[in-house]
Amino acid sequence: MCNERERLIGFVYDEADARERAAIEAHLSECGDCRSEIDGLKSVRQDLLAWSVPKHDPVWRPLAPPRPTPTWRDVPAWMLAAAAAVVLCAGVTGAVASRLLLPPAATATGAMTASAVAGAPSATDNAAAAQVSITDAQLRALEQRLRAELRADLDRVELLVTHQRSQPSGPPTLADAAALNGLPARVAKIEDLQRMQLSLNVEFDKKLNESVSTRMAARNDGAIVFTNFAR
Amino acid sequence: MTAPDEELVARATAGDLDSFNQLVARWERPIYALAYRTLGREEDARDVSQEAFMRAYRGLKGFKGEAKFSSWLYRITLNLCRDWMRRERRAPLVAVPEGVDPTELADQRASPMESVEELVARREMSDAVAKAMAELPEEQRSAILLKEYHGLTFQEIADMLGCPLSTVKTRLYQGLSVLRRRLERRQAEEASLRRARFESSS
Repeated sequence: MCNERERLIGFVYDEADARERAAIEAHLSECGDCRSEIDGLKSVRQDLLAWSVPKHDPVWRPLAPPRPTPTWRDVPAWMLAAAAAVVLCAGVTGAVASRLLLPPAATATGAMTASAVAGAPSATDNAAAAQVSITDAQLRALEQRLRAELRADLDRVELLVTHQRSQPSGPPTLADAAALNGLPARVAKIEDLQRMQLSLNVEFDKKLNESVSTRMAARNDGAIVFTNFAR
Repeated sequence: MTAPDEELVARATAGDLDSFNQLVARWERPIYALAYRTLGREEDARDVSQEAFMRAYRGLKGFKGEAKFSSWLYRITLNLCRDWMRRERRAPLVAVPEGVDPTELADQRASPMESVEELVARREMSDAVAKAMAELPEEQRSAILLKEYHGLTFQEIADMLGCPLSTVKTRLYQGLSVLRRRLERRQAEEASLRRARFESSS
Protein backbone atom coordinates (compact mmCIF):
# COMPACT_ATOMS: atom_id res chain seq x y z
CA MET A 1 0.00 0.00 0.00
CA CYS A 2 1.39 3.34 -1.06
CA ASN A 3 2.12 5.92 1.63
CA GLU A 4 1.30 8.81 -0.61
CA ARG A 5 -2.46 8.26 -0.56
CA GLU A 6 -3.46 11.14 1.68
CA ARG A 7 -1.32 13.58 -0.25
CA LEU A 8 -3.51 12.85 -3.23
CA ILE A 9 -6.43 14.80 -1.79
CA GLY A 10 -4.73 18.13 -2.50
CA PHE A 11 -4.17 16.94 -6.05
CA VAL A 12 -7.76 15.74 -6.45
CA TYR A 13 -9.17 19.09 -5.21
CA ASP A 14 -6.59 21.15 -7.09
CA GLU A 15 -5.29 22.82 -3.95
CA ALA A 16 -1.73 21.62 -4.12
CA ASP A 17 0.88 24.32 -4.80
CA ALA A 18 3.07 24.04 -7.88
CA ARG A 19 5.91 22.16 -6.15
CA GLU A 20 3.58 19.64 -4.51
CA ARG A 21 1.69 19.11 -7.76
CA ALA A 22 4.87 18.35 -9.66
CA ALA A 23 5.94 15.86 -7.02
CA ILE A 24 2.61 14.00 -7.12
CA GLU A 25 2.53 13.91 -10.91
CA ALA A 26 5.99 12.42 -10.87
CA HIS A 27 4.80 9.77 -8.36
CA LEU A 28 1.67 8.96 -10.35
CA SER A 29 3.75 8.21 -13.40
CA GLU A 30 5.35 5.39 -11.40
CA CYS A 31 2.57 4.16 -9.05
CA GLY A 32 -0.39 2.26 -10.48
CA ASP A 33 -2.13 2.01 -7.09
CA CYS A 34 -2.15 5.76 -6.72
CA ARG A 35 -3.40 6.23 -10.26
CA SER A 36 -6.24 3.85 -9.44
CA GLU A 37 -6.89 5.72 -6.23
CA ILE A 38 -7.08 9.04 -8.05
CA ASP A 39 -9.58 7.57 -10.51
CA GLY A 40 -11.68 6.17 -7.67
CA LEU A 41 -11.76 9.50 -5.83
CA LYS A 42 -12.74 11.37 -8.98
CA SER A 43 -15.50 8.83 -9.62
CA VAL A 44 -17.04 9.18 -6.15
CA ARG A 45 -16.91 12.96 -6.48
CA GLN A 46 -18.96 12.59 -9.64
CA ASP A 47 -21.49 10.46 -7.75
CA LEU A 48 -21.71 13.08 -5.00
CA LEU A 49 -22.87 15.64 -7.56
CA ALA A 50 -26.10 13.62 -7.94
CA TRP A 51 -27.17 14.37 -4.36
CA SER A 52 -29.76 17.12 -4.87
CA VAL A 53 -31.61 19.34 -2.42
CA PRO A 54 -35.39 19.58 -2.84
CA LYS A 55 -36.90 22.91 -3.85
CA HIS A 56 -38.23 24.84 -0.87
CA ASP A 57 -40.17 27.97 0.00
CA PRO A 58 -38.17 30.87 1.40
CA VAL A 59 -37.27 30.29 5.03
CA TRP A 60 -37.01 33.99 5.83
CA ARG A 61 -39.59 36.75 5.81
CA PRO A 62 -37.77 40.00 5.00
CA LEU A 63 -37.44 42.36 7.94
CA ALA A 64 -39.32 45.65 7.68
CA PRO A 65 -38.78 48.76 9.75
CA PRO A 66 -41.61 49.55 12.22
CA ARG A 67 -44.13 52.15 11.04
CA PRO A 68 -43.55 55.41 12.88
CA THR A 69 -46.50 56.59 15.01
CA PRO A 70 -47.05 60.32 14.32
CA THR A 71 -47.17 62.48 17.43
CA TRP A 72 -47.85 66.12 17.97
CA ARG A 73 -44.12 66.73 17.70
CA ASP A 74 -44.31 65.80 14.02
CA VAL A 75 -46.89 68.54 13.30
CA PRO A 76 -45.43 71.95 12.38
CA ALA A 77 -46.09 74.77 14.84
CA TRP A 78 -47.99 76.86 12.29
CA MET A 79 -50.37 73.95 11.67
CA LEU A 80 -50.98 73.52 15.39
CA ALA A 81 -51.77 77.23 15.72
CA ALA A 82 -54.12 77.19 12.71
CA ALA A 83 -55.93 74.14 14.02
CA ALA A 84 -56.26 75.74 17.43
CA ALA A 85 -57.77 78.83 15.82
CA VAL A 86 -60.27 76.68 13.93
CA VAL A 87 -61.34 74.87 17.12
CA LEU A 88 -61.63 78.15 18.97
CA CYS A 89 -63.65 79.82 16.21
CA ALA A 90 -65.90 76.80 15.86
CA GLY A 91 -66.51 76.87 19.57
CA VAL A 92 -67.10 80.60 19.57
CA THR A 93 -69.39 80.40 16.55
CA GLY A 94 -71.36 77.66 18.19
CA ALA A 95 -71.56 79.66 21.37
CA VAL A 96 -72.67 82.75 19.50
CA ALA A 97 -75.21 80.92 17.34
CA SER A 98 -76.73 79.18 20.31
CA ARG A 99 -76.71 82.36 22.37
CA LEU A 100 -78.68 83.90 19.56
CA LEU A 101 -81.64 81.68 20.26
CA LEU A 102 -81.10 80.80 23.89
CA PRO A 103 -83.06 82.74 26.46
CA PRO A 104 -80.71 85.14 28.32
CA ALA A 105 -80.87 83.13 31.56
CA ALA A 106 -79.66 79.94 29.90
CA THR A 107 -76.82 81.77 28.19
CA ALA A 108 -75.60 83.14 31.52
CA THR A 109 -75.80 79.66 33.05
CA GLY A 110 -73.74 78.21 30.18
CA ALA A 111 -71.09 80.88 30.57
CA MET A 112 -70.88 80.32 34.30
CA THR A 113 -70.46 76.57 33.85
CA ALA A 114 -67.63 77.03 31.39
CA SER A 115 -65.73 79.49 33.53
CA ALA A 116 -66.23 77.38 36.67
CA VAL A 117 -64.65 74.37 34.94
CA ALA A 118 -61.85 76.31 33.31
CA GLY A 119 -60.85 77.99 36.55
CA ALA A 120 -59.46 81.52 36.59
CA PRO A 121 -59.90 83.23 33.24
CA SER A 122 -56.71 83.28 31.27
CA ALA A 123 -55.62 85.63 28.51
CA THR A 124 -57.08 83.18 25.98
CA ASP A 125 -60.43 83.21 27.79
CA ASN A 126 -60.55 87.01 27.82
CA ALA A 127 -59.68 87.20 24.15
CA ALA A 128 -62.47 84.73 23.39
CA ALA A 129 -64.89 86.70 25.51
CA ALA A 130 -63.93 89.90 23.70
CA GLN A 131 -64.59 88.17 20.39
CA VAL A 132 -68.01 87.01 21.64
CA SER A 133 -68.99 90.51 22.83
CA ILE A 134 -68.08 92.09 19.49
CA THR A 135 -70.39 89.86 17.40
CA ASP A 136 -72.95 89.55 20.19
CA ALA A 137 -74.07 93.17 19.77
CA GLN A 138 -74.83 92.63 16.12
CA LEU A 139 -76.53 89.31 16.68
CA ARG A 140 -78.57 90.71 19.54
CA ALA A 141 -80.15 93.03 17.02
CA LEU A 142 -81.04 90.06 14.85
CA GLU A 143 -82.41 88.27 17.87
CA GLN A 144 -84.67 91.27 18.61
CA ARG A 145 -86.04 91.23 15.10
CA LEU A 146 -86.84 87.53 15.19
CA ARG A 147 -88.54 87.88 18.56
CA ALA A 148 -90.64 90.71 17.14
CA GLU A 149 -91.73 88.57 14.20
CA LEU A 150 -92.62 85.67 16.46
CA ARG A 151 -94.59 87.98 18.75
CA ALA A 152 -96.47 89.33 15.77
CA ASP A 153 -97.36 85.79 14.67
CA LEU A 154 -98.54 84.84 18.12
CA ASP A 155 -100.62 88.02 18.32
CA ARG A 156 -102.24 87.23 15.03
CA VAL A 157 -103.15 83.74 16.19
CA GLU A 158 -104.61 85.09 19.44
CA LEU A 159 -106.58 87.67 17.51
CA LEU A 160 -107.94 85.00 15.23
CA VAL A 161 -109.02 82.77 18.08
CA THR A 162 -110.71 85.71 19.85
CA HIS A 163 -112.45 86.71 16.66
CA GLN A 164 -113.66 83.19 16.07
CA ARG A 165 -115.05 82.91 19.58
CA SER A 166 -116.89 86.25 19.23
CA GLN A 167 -118.61 85.29 16.00
CA PRO A 168 -121.80 83.22 15.84
CA SER A 169 -121.05 79.72 14.67
CA GLY A 170 -121.04 79.63 10.95
CA PRO A 171 -118.81 78.98 8.07
CA PRO A 172 -115.49 80.85 8.12
CA THR A 173 -115.60 84.13 6.20
CA LEU A 174 -113.18 85.44 3.64
CA ALA A 175 -111.62 87.66 6.30
CA ASP A 176 -111.01 84.63 8.47
CA ALA A 177 -109.40 82.87 5.55
CA ALA A 178 -107.11 85.83 4.92
CA ALA A 179 -106.06 85.91 8.58
CA LEU A 180 -105.47 82.22 8.58
CA ASN A 181 -103.58 82.39 5.34
CA GLY A 182 -99.87 81.91 5.90
CA LEU A 183 -100.34 80.76 9.49
CA PRO A 184 -99.22 77.14 8.89
CA ALA A 185 -96.06 78.46 7.27
CA ARG A 186 -95.44 80.69 10.25
CA VAL A 187 -95.91 77.77 12.65
CA ALA A 188 -93.55 75.63 10.57
CA LYS A 189 -90.97 78.42 10.70
CA ILE A 190 -91.25 78.57 14.48
CA GLU A 191 -90.75 74.82 14.67
CA ASP A 192 -87.67 75.05 12.40
CA LEU A 193 -86.17 77.75 14.59
CA GLN A 194 -86.75 75.65 17.66
CA ARG A 195 -85.05 72.63 16.04
CA MET A 196 -82.08 74.78 15.03
CA GLN A 197 -81.83 76.14 18.52
CA LEU A 198 -81.73 72.64 19.99
CA SER A 199 -78.98 71.38 17.62
CA LEU A 200 -76.90 74.50 18.12
CA ASN A 201 -77.15 74.06 21.87
CA VAL A 202 -75.79 70.55 21.53
CA GLU A 203 -73.00 71.68 19.19
CA PHE A 204 -72.04 74.55 21.45
CA ASP A 205 -71.79 72.31 24.50
CA LYS A 206 -69.65 69.82 22.60
CA LYS A 207 -67.19 72.43 21.33
CA LEU A 208 -67.02 74.06 24.71
CA ASN A 209 -66.17 70.76 26.39
CA GLU A 210 -63.47 70.01 23.82
CA SER A 211 -61.90 73.41 24.26
CA VAL A 212 -62.00 73.14 28.05
CA SER A 213 -60.50 69.65 28.15
CA THR A 214 -57.72 70.76 25.81
CA ARG A 215 -56.75 73.61 28.07
CA MET A 216 -57.01 71.33 31.12
CA ALA A 217 -54.62 68.85 29.49
CA ALA A 218 -52.20 71.68 28.70
CA ARG A 219 -52.20 72.78 32.29
CA ASN A 220 -51.69 69.22 33.55
CA ASP A 221 -48.84 68.36 31.19
CA GLY A 222 -47.18 71.71 31.13
CA ALA A 223 -47.22 71.51 27.33
CA ILE A 224 -49.76 72.04 24.60
CA VAL A 225 -51.34 68.76 23.66
CA PHE A 226 -53.94 68.91 20.95
CA THR A 227 -55.31 65.40 21.16
CA ASN A 228 -57.38 65.90 18.03
CA PHE A 229 -54.24 66.14 15.90
CA ALA A 230 -52.25 63.25 17.33
CA ARG A 231 -53.82 60.67 15.02
CA MET B 1 -25.02 46.29 -9.15
CA THR B 2 -24.95 44.00 -6.10
CA ALA B 3 -22.85 44.99 -3.13
CA PRO B 4 -20.28 42.57 -1.66
CA ASP B 5 -20.99 40.83 1.64
CA GLU B 6 -18.67 43.11 3.63
CA GLU B 7 -20.55 46.19 2.51
CA LEU B 8 -23.97 44.71 3.23
CA VAL B 9 -22.77 43.55 6.64
CA ALA B 10 -21.51 47.03 7.48
CA ARG B 11 -24.82 48.59 6.47
CA ALA B 12 -26.85 45.96 8.29
CA THR B 13 -24.80 46.46 11.44
CA ALA B 14 -25.57 50.17 11.20
CA GLY B 15 -29.28 49.32 11.19
CA ASP B 16 -30.16 48.98 7.52
CA LEU B 17 -32.68 46.15 7.52
CA ASP B 18 -32.81 45.93 3.76
CA SER B 19 -29.10 45.12 3.63
CA PHE B 20 -29.63 42.22 5.99
CA ASN B 21 -32.54 41.02 3.87
CA GLN B 22 -30.21 41.07 0.85
CA LEU B 23 -27.63 39.01 2.72
CA VAL B 24 -30.26 36.44 3.59
CA ALA B 25 -31.52 36.31 0.01
CA ARG B 26 -27.96 35.64 -1.14
CA TRP B 27 -27.19 32.88 1.37
CA GLU B 28 -30.55 31.31 2.04
CA ARG B 29 -30.21 28.44 -0.44
CA PRO B 30 -26.66 27.36 0.52
CA ILE B 31 -27.53 27.47 4.22
CA TYR B 32 -30.68 25.45 3.67
CA ALA B 33 -28.73 22.96 1.53
CA LEU B 34 -26.10 22.50 4.26
CA ALA B 35 -28.76 21.98 6.91
CA TYR B 36 -30.75 19.60 4.70
CA ARG B 37 -27.75 17.43 3.81
CA THR B 38 -26.65 17.37 7.44
CA LEU B 39 -30.02 16.59 9.01
CA GLY B 40 -31.81 14.77 6.20
CA ARG B 41 -35.31 16.27 6.71
CA GLU B 42 -36.80 19.32 5.02
CA GLU B 43 -38.70 20.64 8.03
CA ASP B 44 -35.67 20.29 10.28
CA ALA B 45 -33.53 22.05 7.70
CA ARG B 46 -36.09 24.84 7.53
CA ASP B 47 -36.15 25.34 11.29
CA VAL B 48 -32.39 25.33 11.56
CA SER B 49 -32.00 27.73 8.63
CA GLN B 50 -34.41 30.22 10.16
CA GLU B 51 -32.66 29.99 13.50
CA ALA B 52 -29.27 30.46 11.84
CA PHE B 53 -30.37 33.73 10.24
CA MET B 54 -31.99 34.90 13.46
CA ARG B 55 -28.74 34.29 15.32
CA ALA B 56 -26.79 36.04 12.61
CA TYR B 57 -29.07 39.05 12.86
CA ARG B 58 -28.80 39.20 16.61
CA GLY B 59 -25.06 38.63 16.54
CA LEU B 60 -24.22 41.15 13.80
CA LYS B 61 -22.71 43.66 16.17
CA GLY B 62 -20.39 41.00 17.54
CA PHE B 63 -19.27 39.87 14.08
CA LYS B 64 -15.88 41.47 13.71
CA GLY B 65 -15.32 40.55 10.08
CA GLU B 66 -12.15 38.52 10.70
CA ALA B 67 -13.65 35.64 8.76
CA LYS B 68 -15.98 35.75 5.78
CA PHE B 69 -19.63 36.37 6.56
CA SER B 70 -20.53 33.13 4.75
CA SER B 71 -18.07 31.13 6.85
CA TRP B 72 -19.61 32.62 9.97
CA LEU B 73 -23.06 31.63 8.74
CA TYR B 74 -21.91 28.11 7.91
CA ARG B 75 -20.43 27.66 11.35
CA ILE B 76 -23.62 28.87 13.02
CA THR B 77 -25.57 26.39 10.90
CA LEU B 78 -23.29 23.44 11.64
CA ASN B 79 -23.43 24.18 15.36
CA LEU B 80 -27.22 24.36 15.26
CA CYS B 81 -27.33 21.06 13.36
CA ARG B 82 -25.08 19.45 15.94
CA ASP B 83 -27.28 20.71 18.77
CA TRP B 84 -30.35 19.54 16.89
CA MET B 85 -29.03 16.01 16.48
CA ARG B 86 -27.92 15.82 20.10
CA ARG B 87 -31.34 17.03 21.23
CA GLU B 88 -33.12 14.58 18.98
CA ARG B 89 -30.65 11.86 20.01
CA ARG B 90 -30.47 10.45 16.58
CA ALA B 91 -28.31 10.34 13.50
CA PRO B 92 -29.56 12.18 10.44
CA LEU B 93 -32.50 10.55 8.74
CA VAL B 94 -32.57 9.67 5.11
CA ALA B 95 -35.97 9.51 3.44
CA VAL B 96 -35.33 6.85 0.82
CA PRO B 97 -38.41 6.01 -1.24
CA GLU B 98 -39.11 2.35 -1.91
CA GLY B 99 -39.34 2.91 -5.60
CA VAL B 100 -39.12 5.83 -7.96
CA ASP B 101 -42.23 6.53 -10.01
CA PRO B 102 -41.04 7.66 -13.45
CA THR B 103 -44.24 9.57 -14.16
CA GLU B 104 -43.75 11.74 -11.08
CA LEU B 105 -40.23 12.54 -12.11
CA ALA B 106 -41.12 13.68 -15.60
CA ASP B 107 -41.05 17.36 -14.58
CA GLN B 108 -37.73 17.09 -12.71
CA ARG B 109 -35.41 16.66 -15.64
CA ALA B 110 -32.15 18.54 -15.41
CA SER B 111 -32.45 19.43 -19.08
CA PRO B 112 -34.90 18.71 -21.91
CA MET B 113 -32.35 16.25 -23.28
CA GLU B 114 -32.39 14.13 -20.16
CA SER B 115 -34.41 11.00 -20.60
CA VAL B 116 -36.72 9.67 -17.93
CA GLU B 117 -34.38 6.72 -17.44
CA GLU B 118 -31.48 9.07 -16.81
CA LEU B 119 -33.59 11.08 -14.40
CA VAL B 120 -34.58 7.96 -12.51
CA ALA B 121 -30.95 6.87 -12.35
CA ARG B 122 -29.96 10.30 -11.03
CA ARG B 123 -32.65 10.18 -8.36
CA GLU B 124 -31.59 6.72 -7.29
CA MET B 125 -27.98 7.81 -7.08
CA SER B 126 -28.99 10.86 -5.05
CA ASP B 127 -30.75 8.63 -2.57
CA ALA B 128 -27.82 6.23 -2.43
CA VAL B 129 -25.38 9.06 -1.74
CA ALA B 130 -27.66 10.47 0.97
CA LYS B 131 -27.83 7.06 2.64
CA ALA B 132 -24.08 6.53 2.48
CA MET B 133 -23.31 10.04 3.77
CA ALA B 134 -25.69 9.57 6.69
CA GLU B 135 -23.60 6.59 7.81
CA LEU B 136 -20.34 8.57 7.95
CA PRO B 137 -18.98 9.98 11.23
CA GLU B 138 -20.00 13.60 11.74
CA GLU B 139 -16.50 15.07 11.24
CA GLN B 140 -15.98 13.35 7.90
CA ARG B 141 -19.50 14.21 6.72
CA SER B 142 -19.09 17.92 7.60
CA ALA B 143 -15.74 18.15 5.84
CA ILE B 144 -17.11 16.55 2.67
CA LEU B 145 -20.26 18.72 2.69
CA LEU B 146 -18.27 21.93 3.06
CA LYS B 147 -15.73 20.92 0.40
CA GLU B 148 -17.98 19.26 -2.19
CA TYR B 149 -21.16 21.35 -2.01
CA HIS B 150 -19.95 24.72 -0.76
CA GLY B 151 -16.51 25.03 -2.32
CA LEU B 152 -14.62 26.00 0.82
CA THR B 153 -10.83 25.67 0.81
CA PHE B 154 -8.97 23.32 3.16
CA GLN B 155 -7.88 26.31 5.25
CA GLU B 156 -11.41 27.75 5.50
CA ILE B 157 -12.74 24.38 6.65
CA ALA B 158 -9.91 24.06 9.16
CA ASP B 159 -10.68 27.51 10.56
CA MET B 160 -14.38 26.79 10.72
CA LEU B 161 -14.08 23.40 12.39
CA GLY B 162 -11.21 24.51 14.59
CA CYS B 163 -8.78 21.79 13.55
CA PRO B 164 -5.39 21.60 11.75
CA LEU B 165 -5.16 21.63 7.96
CA SER B 166 -3.78 18.09 7.88
CA THR B 167 -6.78 16.86 9.88
CA VAL B 168 -9.16 18.31 7.28
CA LYS B 169 -7.29 16.49 4.49
CA THR B 170 -7.34 13.22 6.45
CA ARG B 171 -11.07 13.46 7.15
CA LEU B 172 -11.75 14.18 3.48
CA TYR B 173 -9.66 11.30 2.27
CA GLN B 174 -11.09 8.78 4.73
CA GLY B 175 -14.68 9.92 4.16
CA LEU B 176 -14.38 9.77 0.38
CA SER B 177 -12.77 6.34 0.57
CA VAL B 178 -15.64 4.95 2.67
CA LEU B 179 -18.19 6.48 0.34
CA ARG B 180 -16.41 5.04 -2.65
CA ARG B 181 -16.46 1.53 -1.23
CA ARG B 182 -20.15 1.72 -0.27
CA LEU B 183 -21.27 3.16 -3.59
CA GLU B 184 -19.20 0.66 -5.56
CA ARG B 185 -20.70 -2.13 -3.48
CA ARG B 186 -24.20 -0.86 -4.16
CA GLN B 187 -23.54 -0.57 -7.86
CA ALA B 188 -22.17 -4.10 -7.89
CA GLU B 189 -25.26 -5.38 -6.09
CA GLU B 190 -27.56 -3.67 -8.54
CA ALA B 191 -25.61 -4.97 -11.47
CA SER B 192 -25.91 -8.54 -10.17
CA LEU B 193 -29.64 -8.04 -9.57
CA ARG B 194 -30.13 -6.85 -13.13
CA ARG B 195 -28.17 -9.84 -14.41
CA ALA B 196 -30.26 -12.20 -12.31
CA ARG B 197 -33.50 -10.68 -13.64
CA PHE B 198 -32.23 -10.86 -17.18
CA GLU B 199 -31.19 -14.47 -16.83
CA SER B 200 -34.43 -15.50 -15.12
CA SER B 201 -36.57 -13.86 -17.80
CA SER B 202 -34.71 -15.44 -20.73
